[in-house]
Amino acid sequence: MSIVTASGLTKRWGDHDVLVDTEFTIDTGVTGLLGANGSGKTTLFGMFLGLHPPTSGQLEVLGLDPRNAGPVVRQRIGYSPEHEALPSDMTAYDFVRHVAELHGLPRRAAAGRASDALYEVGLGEERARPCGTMSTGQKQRVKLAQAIVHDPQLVLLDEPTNGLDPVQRDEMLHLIHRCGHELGLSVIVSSHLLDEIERTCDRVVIVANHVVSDGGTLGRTDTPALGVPVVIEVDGSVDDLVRYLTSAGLNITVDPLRPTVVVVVPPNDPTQAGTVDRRVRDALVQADVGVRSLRRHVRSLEDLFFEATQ
Amino acid sequence: MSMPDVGDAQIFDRGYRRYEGERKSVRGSVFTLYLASLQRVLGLRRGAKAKAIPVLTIAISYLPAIAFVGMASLLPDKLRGSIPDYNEYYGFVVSAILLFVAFVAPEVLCPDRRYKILGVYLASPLTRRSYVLAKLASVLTVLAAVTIGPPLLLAIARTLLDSGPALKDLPVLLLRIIASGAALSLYYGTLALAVSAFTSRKGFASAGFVLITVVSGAIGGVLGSNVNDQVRTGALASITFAPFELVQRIYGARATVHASTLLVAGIVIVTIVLSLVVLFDRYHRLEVTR
Repeated sequence: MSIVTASGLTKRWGDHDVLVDTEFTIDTGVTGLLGANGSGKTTLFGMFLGLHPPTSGQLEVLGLDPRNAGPVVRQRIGYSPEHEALPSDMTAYDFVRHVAELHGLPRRAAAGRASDALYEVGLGEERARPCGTMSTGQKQRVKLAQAIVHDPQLVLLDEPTNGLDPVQRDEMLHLIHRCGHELGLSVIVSSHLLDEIERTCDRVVIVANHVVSDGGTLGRTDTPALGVPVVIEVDGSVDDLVRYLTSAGLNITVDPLRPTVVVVVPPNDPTQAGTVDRRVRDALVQADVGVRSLRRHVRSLEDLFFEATQ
Repeated sequence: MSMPDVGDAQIFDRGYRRYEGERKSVRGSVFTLYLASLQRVLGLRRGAKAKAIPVLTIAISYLPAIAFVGMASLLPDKLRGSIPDYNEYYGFVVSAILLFVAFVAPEVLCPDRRYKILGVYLASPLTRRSYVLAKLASVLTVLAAVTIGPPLLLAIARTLLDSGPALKDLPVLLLRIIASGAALSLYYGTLALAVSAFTSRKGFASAGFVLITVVSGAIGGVLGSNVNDQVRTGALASITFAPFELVQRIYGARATVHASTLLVAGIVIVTIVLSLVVLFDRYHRLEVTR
């Protein structure tokens, strides 16, 4: 199910183009918003929240246009900004409860959920501390707690690991993964770090060259997917194998740099896709070659990012 | 050794869960911000330092009126003839107002920008306009309490001395008290927030307001030299003069400035409108989350 849909979306700040006539869809689940610094990730979040109207084009968030229904959209979104954004003299509990009330929760429910959200992010014992006395890691957790406290349909996390050391970063990524996969929230995480997105997200959208492109599903699946190539590395010449694979009706390419590697590109026709593995197996037997490796070629996030930025 | 009684023990399910209960409307969010800002300017749920000036403000404005009520009930003969008129009482209030608007009012706007919390507020159902309105309402509430409450206590003191308003004059007196309180609150509240909208540092906002008070007072002093028994119109340039001159006229007291009531009211209204335009425009243009 789509939570964000954009078509012909353009955003311009003065003479500077941020997005130009871009089209994309973001589905439920945990989605990574990947892009270099200054590529427009935060601007895109601002547009989702209805704070920056698009220069042209259509944008729908949770089925509504943020330009016209900004307050209603924002009531259903949780947002953690990139900057510190915490009142130094207010306790974590008071701040999170206040944000819950701002998003429409009655006072009593807000009080209970503020405690629960802080407990969830590991600050149950620290909730009475003023935000100004907390470490960077604790502050990032408070920001996450205030973003989820009101049970939003969509959570926007802008660079949530900024300023964290490796241990704190691991813990924060684990929390984000948990928000999406165990608490059932749809999350969009912006980052310029490939491995963060790879470890946390199910899907990725990439902001580069003034467009937002769908990077698709990240390669964690073990089941064969339609259109995912098979890579065969053999011991010796590939000539026989190439002949048998071709005669089996398979579309193949041979790596010119490593002539022992054959890439079998399966057809996009779902009725034939299931037979590819069987035909590859038969060709290998007929060619009688030693197999060094046989694997599916899953595109890494790095592949996706470089494809999008070139 | 006896075992503790565990018959009433309960296991509480802690942690995050989905919320299916009722949610308030967008107006509820605005009211939440209004209450939180009111708490903030009064120093509630904050340290003693944050409470000092709000308490002092309220004490300065209310203590004389409370003292008059006490004396009127305990020592009426000593007070009779020396109790001030309603319009004269604002002389006690002026320092309380200036103290509050210079040193407390910036607290409602500046820290939100300094600590970038404005981004969190504008990611809630609040809009830029409703955010500013809630903040303004919280400042006006305190100013109204300071400017409307004490004259009402004075009316009680005067009634105890048998010099209070007759029943038929009561509505007019109440209208005068409310109109004076509204004029002073709006004038100083909007001006203080307009100044605060230019900086994210409370200290700079306070210094800015003090500077405007001093400079406008000096200009008003130079331009408003005495003519017969009155001062010239130029005295209205002083921000500590113009609204209080209007209050004199609302109570029907003798005018201090050689100018029509329409002009005095016009200067006050234009100042309020200009302050509002500056305040909302600053927040309309403010960059958030970019």
